[in-house]
Parts: sequence; structure tokens; C-alpha cells
Amino acid sequence: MPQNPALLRAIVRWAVRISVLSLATAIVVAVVYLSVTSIPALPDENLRRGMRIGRAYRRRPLAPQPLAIMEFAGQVLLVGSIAFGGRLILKLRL
Amino acid sequence: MIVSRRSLSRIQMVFWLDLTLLFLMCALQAVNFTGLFLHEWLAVATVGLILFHLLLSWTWITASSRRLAASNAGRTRVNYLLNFGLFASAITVVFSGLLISEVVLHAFGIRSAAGDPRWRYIHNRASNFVVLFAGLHLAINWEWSIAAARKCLRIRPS
Repeated sequence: MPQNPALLRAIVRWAVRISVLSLATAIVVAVVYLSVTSIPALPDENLRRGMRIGRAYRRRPLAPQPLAIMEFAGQVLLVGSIAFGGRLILKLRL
Repeated sequence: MIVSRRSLSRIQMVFWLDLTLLFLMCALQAVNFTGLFLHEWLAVATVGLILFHLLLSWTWITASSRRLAASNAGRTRVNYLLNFGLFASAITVVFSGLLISEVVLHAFGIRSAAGDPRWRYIHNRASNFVVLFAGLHLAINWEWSIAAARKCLRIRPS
């Protein structure tokens, strides 16, 4: 048990923060889980076939490096474009 | 001087953490770039970084939560809603990703729901929302990001 009251307060403060964050996470997880499991799984053969192909695709050796790097760069550009668009909206106060 | 040094080191820590999160999120969106093995383990590491990011932003979270009911807090409400959307979609992506995991859960000997198309659908849709909300989160915090980048990278304002 720490003897220093400031240290004790800091520990309690961080414990409360972590608990609140865990509770918020648990609530989101519960809502998502209950929502998804309440939808009946459709026996969609096309979807299942697509998933099998997708799984084989992901397990194959990595794509040629330039293409994979371009995919990553594309994501960076996408986030940057959304940020730029959002910034523009904020500036124009739309 | 000690206080300003402390605040600078805090800014540096938050800036590098946020930059890491941004690039990790982009890498996680490009599965071809990382491969499935790294995709799943990086996602697990990202959870810890997200929680650390939220704990570092706790002062803002509590102050905004208190301000939500105020009449002149329109911008705070929008910002709060965007941040909550980002949090909820990130948690959804990680949770659904764990359920359809083909590497991480198997490493612990747990059977995943990889064959369930519902979770794969949720994972893909939620990841689109993460990109959208992350971009808007960056837009709202643009001034802070630029100021922090200038401080951390020692760039003089033009």
C-alpha cells in the first residue's frame, strides 16, 4: 500500500479512468454482438464461395511489393483527402 | 522552464503516438501490404495504443462530457459525436476482427467464427467508418497536429 497520498490519488484516478474506458468498450462490444447475432445467418452459397476465394487470396504469398506499397499509400491519401475535405468544410463553416 | 519542458515532452509523446496510430491504421487497411499474420498482430497492438491515446486525452473527454449540455456547445457536440463514432467503429473492427481471426485466436487454440459471413461484413463496413472518422478527427484537430508537428520536427513557422 503506498504511503504517499498524492501517489495513492494518482493510482485511484488512473484506475477509475481505465474502468470507465473498459465499461465503454464492453457496452460497445455487447451492443455489436447482440445486434449481429440477432440477424439470422443466411445460407448464401455465393457469399460462402467468395469467402473461400478471399481466404485463399489472403493466404497466398505477399503481393508484388510495389503494388502493396501503392495500396498502403492509397490509404494514406484517402485519410489525407478526408481530413482535407473536413478541414475545408470547417473553414467554410458549411 | 521545467513545466514547459514537461509539456513539450508530453506533446512529443502524444504526437508520435498519434502519428504511429495513423500509419498503423493505414497499414491495417491494406492487408496486401502487411499480410494476414502481421495484419492481425498489429491490430492487437493497436488496441493498446488506442486505449493509451484515450487515457492521454482524458482531460478533454471529461471537460467535453461536462460541456455537452451547454447551449453554446455545438462544435463540442459534433466533435464528441465524431470521436465517439471513431471509438465505437474502432472497437467494432477489432472485436469483429478477433472473431474472424485466422492467426491470433488460432495461436491460443481458440476456434474463430471465420466462416460466419455476418462478422466479415461487419468488419469490412466498420473499417470503412474508421477511415472516415479518422480523417474527420484529423480535420478537427488539424491546428493542434500542425503545431505539434512544428514543435516535434523543429520546423519554423513560415
